[in-house]
Amino acid sequence: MTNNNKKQKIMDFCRVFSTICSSVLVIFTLFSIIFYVFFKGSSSLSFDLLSSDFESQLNVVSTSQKTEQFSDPNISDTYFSFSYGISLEDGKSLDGENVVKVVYVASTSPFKNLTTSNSKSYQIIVGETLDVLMGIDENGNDVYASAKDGAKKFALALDKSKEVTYLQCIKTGGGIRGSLISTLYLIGLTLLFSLPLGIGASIYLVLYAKDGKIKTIIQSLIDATSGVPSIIFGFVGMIVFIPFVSVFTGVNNYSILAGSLTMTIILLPIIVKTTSESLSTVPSNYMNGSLALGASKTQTIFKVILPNALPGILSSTLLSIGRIIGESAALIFVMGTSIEDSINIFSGATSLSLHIWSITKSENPNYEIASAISIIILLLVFAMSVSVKIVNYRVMKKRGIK
Amino acid sequence: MENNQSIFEVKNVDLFYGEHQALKSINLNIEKNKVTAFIGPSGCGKSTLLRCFNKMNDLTSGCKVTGEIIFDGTDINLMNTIELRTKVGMVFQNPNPFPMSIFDNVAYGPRCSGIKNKEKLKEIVIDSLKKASLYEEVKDRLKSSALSLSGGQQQRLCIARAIAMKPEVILMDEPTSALDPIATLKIEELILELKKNYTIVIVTHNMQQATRISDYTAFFLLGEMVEMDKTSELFSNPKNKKTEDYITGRFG
Repeated sequence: MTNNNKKQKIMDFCRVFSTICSSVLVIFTLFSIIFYVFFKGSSSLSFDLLSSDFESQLNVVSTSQKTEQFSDPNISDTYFSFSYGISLEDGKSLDGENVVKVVYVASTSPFKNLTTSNSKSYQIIVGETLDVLMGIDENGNDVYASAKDGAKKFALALDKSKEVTYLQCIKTGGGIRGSLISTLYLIGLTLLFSLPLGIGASIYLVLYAKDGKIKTIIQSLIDATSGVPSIIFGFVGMIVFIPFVSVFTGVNNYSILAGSLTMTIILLPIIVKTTSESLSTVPSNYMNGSLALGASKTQTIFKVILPNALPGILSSTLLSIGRIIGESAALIFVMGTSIEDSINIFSGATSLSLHIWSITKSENPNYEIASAISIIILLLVFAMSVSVKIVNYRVMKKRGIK
Repeated sequence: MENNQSIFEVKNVDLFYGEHQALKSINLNIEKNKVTAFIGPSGCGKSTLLRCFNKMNDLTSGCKVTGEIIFDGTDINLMNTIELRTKVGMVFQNPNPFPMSIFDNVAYGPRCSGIKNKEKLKEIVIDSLKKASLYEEVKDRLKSSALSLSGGQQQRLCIARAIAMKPEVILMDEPTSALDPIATLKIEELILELKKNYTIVIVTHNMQQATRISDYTAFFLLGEMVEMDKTSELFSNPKNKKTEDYITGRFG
């Protein structure tokens, strides 16, 4: 008896221990991935990343010295040009080249009020890099400096130049503004197409269609399609939707519109499935009560059933947004992989996920930026889920369920 | 029973759920401005018959009704279902207020039938709540959710909701079976009050309730109507042996 008891205890311990082990393993893996992404990406994460273009921008400017002498803000490892009021430091570009970076510009510096070679007004901002400088000193001799010489020489050359005749300044690219906007477009358009279609289809299937073979077949088809790998839909989207969009644009090319149509097809089964589930859990009491009051079936559905299914519909929307943000394979076929800065729904662009794919498969993969984008995606999804929960809670509270 | 006072005439009604016959050639009349109670053991078809009066059986798939039900001189099959249901209200076994505010619950029916004027809606809501003797309890919180009410209050709200449609008949399907004795008492008082203006048909398992509130009682057994008479007559002097057995508690 005691022997049996002991055996039982050991077995119990083993079982509990194994479940604890697996949960620790799961949590550890998840957290280490998230931790890695945060560790790697947080240094590159900045508002500039979100707001700046991907393509770098080169401008050529000219200016001349003022009489004013500027005071050095004394930032460590920087070199200050007293006559132009600008601090420079040595840095590396995203491609690993030596560059001269601007870390400080005095508010009255001549660099705040420049004209470019094609006579546009321009000002140098912190974070820009300077490349080639040509100037004339007080004796009329040429001054020359290049980024390869380093920030110290560049600052000295600047001080020497009475007049700067030629200065190349580069706004470094690598920003994700374009991809962020195209992701938002993609989410908006896809939801615009898929929610009405999906909700409409589930209302018909759950509340109007008569039970029978056809309904069963349709429902099992929908179940089956929700498991089809998205790359198949992407491939089909390329064959079907790109020509379809070209009817309107006249150009047979990648486009965000084609991307959102493809995403619509991918999402429809999921939306129909989750919405159907939430529609069929609305108590039949409500339906009966409303019909007995002389309301028509349509009135009942729109005034009683749909509002009650709202939490389910919201969570399916959230699920859809998650899929849209995360989808990459299918979109390669229909949206292309070239990162764009000016976004138009009739032309190709990358979503955030595709942006990650594009920059990590390039010759100089940039894992920091990729991690930073991952953080943004994680935050987006998190914000989405919180906001859906808040809306859900408000709706429930208003209807007195909570 | 005089025919000219009947609001419902049921003639030879048979009802089938698929193969199963749930009602067998029912003939009865429901008198205007009276309370008629349907009693009988579970599964005897009394609720099913009740649901025939406002064609709620249409919602059950595989349900087929034959025979005639005349409402106010017209065969209900020739009437618009929606029109019929506005004239014949229904209160269900479990209180089923919609998850919206008390006001919206009562205003739901009138809104669905196209009344949009806010003043008029308010008037209807207050009037209906008063008639369902709920107004005093909820007048300060018409905007709060109907689900915050107690079970008895919810059921009276459902009655108010039915009254708001200005029906001629109110069908009640075991309206007190989910309520405690005090709430039951309130509903019963309400039914006696409503009798003045409405015809009420009530299905009940509780025979004391039938004796307390109804003018006529019909006893059902296995899909057949065994006996229908004035309530006092049926309970004191049942003509059928089965009725006697049932009301004396020998079975069922």
